[in-house]
Amino acid sequence: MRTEYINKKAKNISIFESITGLFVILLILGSSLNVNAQTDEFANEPVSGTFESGLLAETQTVATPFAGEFELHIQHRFGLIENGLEDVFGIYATSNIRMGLNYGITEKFMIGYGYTKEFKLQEFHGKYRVLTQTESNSIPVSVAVYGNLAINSQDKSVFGNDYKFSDRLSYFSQLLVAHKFNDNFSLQFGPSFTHFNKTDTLVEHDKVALSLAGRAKVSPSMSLFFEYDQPLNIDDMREFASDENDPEANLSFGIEIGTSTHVFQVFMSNYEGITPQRNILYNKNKIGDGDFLVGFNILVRF
Amino acid sequence: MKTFKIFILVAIALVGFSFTIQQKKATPWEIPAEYKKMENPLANDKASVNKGKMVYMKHCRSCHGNKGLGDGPKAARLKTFPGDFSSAEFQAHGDGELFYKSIIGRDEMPNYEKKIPSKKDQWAVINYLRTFKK
Ligand code: HEC
Repeated sequence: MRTEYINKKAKNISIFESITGLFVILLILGSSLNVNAQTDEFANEPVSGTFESGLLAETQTVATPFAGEFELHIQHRFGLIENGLEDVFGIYATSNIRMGLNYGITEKFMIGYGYTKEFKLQEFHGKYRVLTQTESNSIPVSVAVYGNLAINSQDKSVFGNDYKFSDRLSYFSQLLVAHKFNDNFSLQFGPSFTHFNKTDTLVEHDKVALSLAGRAKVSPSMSLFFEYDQPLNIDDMREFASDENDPEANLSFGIEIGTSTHVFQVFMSNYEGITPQRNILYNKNKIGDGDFLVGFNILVRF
Repeated sequence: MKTFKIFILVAIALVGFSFTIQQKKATPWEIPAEYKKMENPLANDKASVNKGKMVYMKHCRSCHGNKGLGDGPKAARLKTFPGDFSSAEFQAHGDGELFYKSIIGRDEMPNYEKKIPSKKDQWAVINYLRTFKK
């Protein structure tokens, strides 16, 4: 038993280290390739289009709307593909959906509201871009902080005895660090912290997770992207002795098409919760078991 | 019955006619002097043309068309013809003038100062417009 735990811990740490390590190496590589660009007139201009929009599959990105711009989000997740033709790869299965509206208060600061079908989550969120990468890499990365508050608005009977309003609340906060390598390729690393005031029996209240996302353009308006989320199920940080309820990692990958007014993303994913804290803490779909589903995000700017 | 048939014919002809109404030709632009003498700070190289192509495909293609002929999918619904970027007349304009038309715009030609915030992207699309030259 004991050795199993140690192994598990070691595995988690090595995943953590390899992700961070990879990111740091790529970062150094990327910035060293560009040092000679210092002389040009645009050296101190912020880079454009690190990501197409503020949302990539299941994760936020360092992008925010323009000042005064609204974004309408429609996010849809079909059921798992596991039943094949029976429900046409999940298309006829129960699905989850989120509608959201974001508004850019300044170039760097965004607020928004969204509603997710599962668990009737009402969500308020905000994102602030602290740093923006420059053309010369004098600032080598774009950095943003993201936070949300979700209110579970189901009937209060689902919260059990001793119901308090605060049982409904959960929080998700994330630091986003992105580097645009060139017009075709960007990567983003994002450690996050999830907290639920009230969880299901023997489910932890807090969870730290890491996310790595990237996209590569394949034509001027189309790109391929991936996203990987790893909740850190580390014994020293464990609230309960059992690891039975540990959440599973997520892999999403798909294609993105961006136009002046719309962004479309169609992808495969393990996550079905849409709201990030739900995904991070409760995901039971395993990459290794092929528990994937089809999802799409549509964004309209106006 | 006969009058009804004639009525239908006339109605069809009228509707048909209204679809063939020509787009109005653009009137000359008044370009402020500061833009006229503006120089393109971005080298017209492969990298900037590629960048410009990305901007163009995202923001401009829908009206101006893949080849800049003014025949994009949205063009039919415009009152003004968006222009033929391959024509010698168009290509004779200076970069500063094209910059004003492309980024500041007027009427049906949208303003892009906000949507294309990066100066580099703004000039890159001008370099891309040059590739339409026949
Ligand atoms: C909504 C449709 C639409 C979009 C999108 C659009 N344009 Fe235009 N454009 C027009 C119209 C219409 C005109 C003619 C306007 C006029 O002359 O009043 C025009 C005119 C122009 C002209 C002047 C043409 C000439 O013959 O002098 C340039 C240059 C131009 N657009 C560049 C761009 C660029 C660059 C983009 C993308 C960043 C763009 N346009 C996006 C509709 C559009």
